[in-house]
Amino acid sequence: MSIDMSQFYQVFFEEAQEHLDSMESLLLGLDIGAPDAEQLNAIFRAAHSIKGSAGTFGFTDLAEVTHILESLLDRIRKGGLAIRADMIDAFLAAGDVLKALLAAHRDGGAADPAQVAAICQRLSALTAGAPSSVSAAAPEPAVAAAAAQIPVPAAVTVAPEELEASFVLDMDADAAVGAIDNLLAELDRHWPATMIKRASADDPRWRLRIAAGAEPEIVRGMLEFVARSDSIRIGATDAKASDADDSDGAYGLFDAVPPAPTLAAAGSEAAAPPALTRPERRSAPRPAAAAESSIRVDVDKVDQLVNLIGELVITQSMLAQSASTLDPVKFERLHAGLAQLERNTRDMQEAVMSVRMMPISAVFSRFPRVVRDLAQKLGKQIELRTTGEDTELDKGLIERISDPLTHLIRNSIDHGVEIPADRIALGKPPTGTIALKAYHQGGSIVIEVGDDGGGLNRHKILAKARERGLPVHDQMSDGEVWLLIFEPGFSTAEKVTEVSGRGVGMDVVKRNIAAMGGRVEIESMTGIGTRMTVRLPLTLAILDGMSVAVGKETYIVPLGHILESLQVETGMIKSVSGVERLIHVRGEYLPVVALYELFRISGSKKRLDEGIMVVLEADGAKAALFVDALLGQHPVVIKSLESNYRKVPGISAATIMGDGHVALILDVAALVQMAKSALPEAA
Amino acid sequence: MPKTILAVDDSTSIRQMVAFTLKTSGYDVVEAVDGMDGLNKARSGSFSLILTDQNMPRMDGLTLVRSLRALAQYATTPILILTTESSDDMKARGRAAGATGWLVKPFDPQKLIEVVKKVIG
Amino acid sequence: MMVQQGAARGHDAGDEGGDTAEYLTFTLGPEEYAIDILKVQEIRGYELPTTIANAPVFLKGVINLRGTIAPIVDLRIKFNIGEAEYTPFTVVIILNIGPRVVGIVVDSVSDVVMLNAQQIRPAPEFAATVDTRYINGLCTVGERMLIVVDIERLMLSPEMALVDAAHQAQ
Repeated sequence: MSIDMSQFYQVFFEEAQEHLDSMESLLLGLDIGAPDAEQLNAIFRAAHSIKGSAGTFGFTDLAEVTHILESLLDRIRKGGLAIRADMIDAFLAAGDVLKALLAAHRDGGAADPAQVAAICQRLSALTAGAPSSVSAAAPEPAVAAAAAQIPVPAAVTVAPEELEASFVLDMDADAAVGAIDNLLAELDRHWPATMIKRASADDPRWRLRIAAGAEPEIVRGMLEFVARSDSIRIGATDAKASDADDSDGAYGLFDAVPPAPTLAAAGSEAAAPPALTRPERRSAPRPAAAAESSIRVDVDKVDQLVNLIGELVITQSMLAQSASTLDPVKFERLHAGLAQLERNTRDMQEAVMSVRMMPISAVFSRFPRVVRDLAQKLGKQIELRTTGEDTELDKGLIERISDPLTHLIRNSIDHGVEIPADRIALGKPPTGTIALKAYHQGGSIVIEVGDDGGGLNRHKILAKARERGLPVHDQMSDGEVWLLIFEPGFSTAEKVTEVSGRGVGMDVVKRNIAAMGGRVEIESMTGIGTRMTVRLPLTLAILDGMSVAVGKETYIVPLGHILESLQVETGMIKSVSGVERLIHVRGEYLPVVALYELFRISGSKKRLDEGIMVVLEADGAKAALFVDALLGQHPVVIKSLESNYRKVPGISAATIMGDGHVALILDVAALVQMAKSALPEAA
Repeated sequence: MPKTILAVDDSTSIRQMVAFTLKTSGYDVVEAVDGMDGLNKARSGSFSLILTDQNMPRMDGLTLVRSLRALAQYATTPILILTTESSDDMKARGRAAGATGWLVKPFDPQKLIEVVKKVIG
Repeated sequence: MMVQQGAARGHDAGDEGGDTAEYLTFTLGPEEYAIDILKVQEIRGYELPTTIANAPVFLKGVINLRGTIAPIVDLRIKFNIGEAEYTPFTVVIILNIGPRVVGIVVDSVSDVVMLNAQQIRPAPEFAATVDTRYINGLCTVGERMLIVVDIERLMLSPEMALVDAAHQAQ
C-alpha cells in the first residue's frame, strides 16, 4: 500500500508555522536571568514536534536544523547549559531560517542553503560552549551581557559530528544498570547522549552515542569512572551505518506480556532509571491552553456556513415581507413566530460570523520581534506595550492588516522614537514606548499605534510637500498636514534609512487599509509623540450598503465610500465640450459618473437635476455618482461574482436582496478612477 | 466489526497521517491530542490498540501508558509508543511503564501497518 | 486525498462492451444535443436574472441559486437558433463545470439516454451549429440523431466569456 503523504503537507505547514510562531514569542518572553522551566519545556517541545513531523513527511532540511536546535534546547531545559542572550539571538535566527525553509517547501521556492549551513554551524558552536569545556566556561550573568554584544561565537575545537563511545564496564553485572544510568545522566548534563547498544553475552562492550560538539577528552574522563581505561574507544560515528541500524530496528515489541497493573507500578519504581525522576519528565498537568480545546476547521467550511446563514437571513426577510400584508390579529401567532425567527436568525448569524473571528494577537504577536530587531539595528531603546490582544476581527482582515500595521510600527520606530541620547537631552526616559492597542468601537475595530517620540514636524512636512509640488498652504490644519505623509512618494526621513528605504511608502499603507474598507488617521504633538489610528470594519463578509435605483436595476454602494447625497440644481452643473461632466459642490468640481451611461441602462433618468448625486470617495479621489433614487440603507452579505463568473468592470461583488434577487455591489474605487480619466466608456 | 485504534499525538499532521493510514487498512481510528485527552478517550471507549507519541504537552506518552495499565480495562491492551528516541534507555523506560512495543519516528506508513498487523492482526 | 480517491470517476458503468454513460438530451431549434449527465446539477424553470452591464447579449445575467451567484447563458441566442422567448416552460439546465456553477437556457429538455462510447461516431465538419471543436461525435438512437457535446470545454471556451482570461482552462 502506498499513502500519498502530500495530502498531509498543508496541515504540517500550518502546524510547523504555529510551532515556530509560539517558539518565537516564548523566546522573546523568556527571562534570561531566571528562565521558567515550563517555558523552556514548551520551546523544546515546539522544536521537537517540528523535527518529528518534518522527518516523517520527508522534509529533511527542516528536520536537520530542528534536530540541532532541539539537542541544544534539551540541554538547556535539563539544566546542562545556562541560557544566554546570544543563544536567544541564535534561536531566533534559527526560527527565521526554519520559516524560510518552510515557506520554500510550501510555495515551491528555494531556501538559501548557505543560510541553513550557517545556522547549523552557529547552533553547533553554541552546543560546543558547554559549561565544562575549557574555552567556553559557563558565563556569569555579567558575562552573558558581554556575550550578547559579540554575536559571533568563539571558535572551539570540538567534534563537529556525533561521537560514538564504546567500552567494557569495570564492575559486575549487578551494578551495571545503575552505573550506566548514572553515566548517561552525567553525560546528558553536558551533551545529549543515548545508549545504542548494551553489553551482551557475546559482546561485553557498551556503545553510546554523544551529540555533536562533545569533547572526546571530557567524555573519556567520565567513562573512566565506570569503564576499564584500556577498553575505551571514542570516535566519530558513521552516520549512514547507524541510520541503517535504525531503519532495521524501526519498531519492536517487548517479548514479555505487559505486567499486571500493580506490578507495573511497582516495576516502574524499581526499574526506573534516574532519568524518570528528572523534574522535566514529570510534566505536571497544566490547564489546557485555548488552542488545545479548539478544533481545526477548513476556512471553506466556515465560509459555507456563513453563506448558508446569509440564505437563512434572506429567507427570513422574505417570509417577513410576505406576512406583513396579513391581518396581524388573525395571524397573531404567525407574526409572533416570525418575530422569534428573526431574533433567532440574527443571533445565529452573529454566532456564525464569530467563528470567522480571530483574536488580533495573531498579528500582534509578531511585533515584539519587529521592535526588538529594528530598535537594535537603529541603536534605540524601545518598549512595546500591547493592549487588547484578545480583540477579535475577521480572519480575512487579520491576514491583510498584518503588513500595513508592521509598516506603521516600523515607521514609529524609525521616525518617531528618538535615540537614547536625544531623549535624555529632552528630559525623557532613555527608553521610548510604542503602544499598540486594539478595541471595538461601534461596528468597527480600532487599532492604534502610538509612540512617545518627537512627533511630526509641521514645517518639514509642508516644505517637503511644496518640494513635491503638492497643493499646500500655511493655513492648513494640523490634521490636514499630517495626512500629507500618506501622499505617494512622501517621506520625512532626513536620510533614507535602511528601514524607510524599503520602497513601500505610507501611501501604500493607506491604500491597503482603504481596500479593506478601513481608514487611517493621525494625531501628533511636537515633542510628545504620534498616534496613528486604523479603523476597520469587523468583517469582510458583511458590508453596510446603500441601495440605489437606476432604471429597473438596483445597485449597492458601500456606505463607507459615501460622503454625501444631494440633488443638484442646474447651476451646479458644468459642461465640458458640450457634455455635462462636472458638478460644483462646496467649492469643488467633481467629475460625474452617470451609471445609466456606464452600464447602458435604459429607462432611467437622464437629466442630472432630476436624479440624485451620490458623492463618493476612494483612494483620496472624489466623484459624483448619478442615480435615479436612493432606496435604503442596510447590511448586505457579500457574494463573489467571480467564483462562477468573471470580473466585471465597475462591480466588486454581488449580494442577495430581501426578495431573493441578486443585486450587484459597485466597485467605488474603479468608478472613481473611471470618472477621473473622464472616459464614461472606460469599461 | 473493524478493530478500533486510539491514536494519541499532539501533532495534527502526524495524527492525520496515522489515522488515514490505519483507516485505509480497514481499522477504525479515534484521535486524541495529548496524553490527558488520550486517557479520557480511552476511559470512555474501548480500543484494541493504543498508539501514543512520547513527547506531548499536559501528559507524555510514558505517563499515559502507566495510567492506562492502572485501569483494569487496559491491563493487557497492546500499547505502542511512537518515539524519536530509539535508545535502549527509552526502550527500557517504555517497557517498565508497561508498553507493548515501540515505533521509531520518523516512520513511513508501511512500517506502521506492519507493526499494527503484527500486534492485533 | 484526490490522488488516492479521484482516479476512477466517470464512465465505468458498462461491462466489457466499452464505456457506457448516461447523457441528458435537449433541443436547440431543430437540433438535438446530448451532454454528460454527471455535469448536470439540476433543471429548473427560467427566472429573470440580474443583468450584468456590458456583457455579451447571450449572457442573460446572474441568478441566486440557493445563495450562489450563477451566470445564465442563453444558448439559443449564443447559437442564434430556436426562439429566445421566456415563458413559464422555458428551462434552465444548471451545470457543474469543475467547481463552477453555470446555467444554460435551451428550447427543451428531452430525456436521459444511455450511450456506449462505440455508438458515438466522429462528427463531420459543420454537422451542427456548435463548433466541431466542442463536439465529441454523433450518435443515432432510433430515429434521433444526437450531437454529443463536450459541455465543459464549450462553457470554458473563450467565446462563452464566462471565465476571466487568467483562469481560462487549457
